[in-house]
Amino acid sequence: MPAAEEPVGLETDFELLQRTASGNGLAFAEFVERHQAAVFRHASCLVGHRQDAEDLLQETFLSALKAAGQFRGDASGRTWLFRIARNAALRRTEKPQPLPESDLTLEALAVRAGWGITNPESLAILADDRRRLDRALAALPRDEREMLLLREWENLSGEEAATLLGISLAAMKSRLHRARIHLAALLRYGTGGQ
Amino acid sequence: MIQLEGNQLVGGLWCSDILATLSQYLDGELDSQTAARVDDHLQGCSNCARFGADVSGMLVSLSGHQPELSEEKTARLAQALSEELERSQF
Repeated sequence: MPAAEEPVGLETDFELLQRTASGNGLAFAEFVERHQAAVFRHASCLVGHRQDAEDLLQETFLSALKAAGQFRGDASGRTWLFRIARNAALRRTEKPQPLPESDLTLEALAVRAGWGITNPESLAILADDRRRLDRALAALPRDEREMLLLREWENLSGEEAATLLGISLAAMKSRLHRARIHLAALLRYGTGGQ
Repeated sequence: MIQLEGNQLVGGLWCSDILATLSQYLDGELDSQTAARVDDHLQGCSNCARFGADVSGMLVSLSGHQPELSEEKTARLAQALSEELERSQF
């Protein structure tokens, strides 16, 4: 890195990316530091495999570096990165992923999730089993997993999530609700004996 | 179509209504009047109260199980970006 670069303070994402586009590598390092953990979490939910997630993480930031000058600041830097990661993940998928149990009604999923059982094992305890939780998340349809984790891990607002996914707010809420009950069903009912 | 077993009317709402609005209730997105009716239902319906608490607890556990970016992965990312920066003549 050139020694003459100016120190970078608490700048907005827009400012950091503008400085990146002007050749300031420290500004991009600050941008990466700010968002790399969130992008990795999002990459993990998009591709479901740790090595693939790491590859997607790198691909996302390399693309962001090249496109820094195109960032207009009309979304947060984080959701801009999520969109880049999402597009890259979709390009990697050659054919649509199977949608396990996607035809089940919400009521049917709720029954599988323990609706009506008098003394079920706690879903919180089932979810604390990391391997069980990972299997259940992997078995969710990708659109539901992405929706669920944007809210539960990234705390995106409903409007932010809907915009990122290109769906209406009502559709976002419906998908989120189904994803939660679906995850509960997969945690309790299992994922086909895997 | 599967029907919810024991679907009952409590506090002016059916159990199926509670299931349909559970996420909005947990997220605090219901208007105060509807939220109060849901509260009434939950007080009189042990099944819905248990199921709602169970799903809520699951979400708390889920948010505590986020994949973390290790120092090793962070270093590999920094290296890849550093090489790209050099190639780009930054």
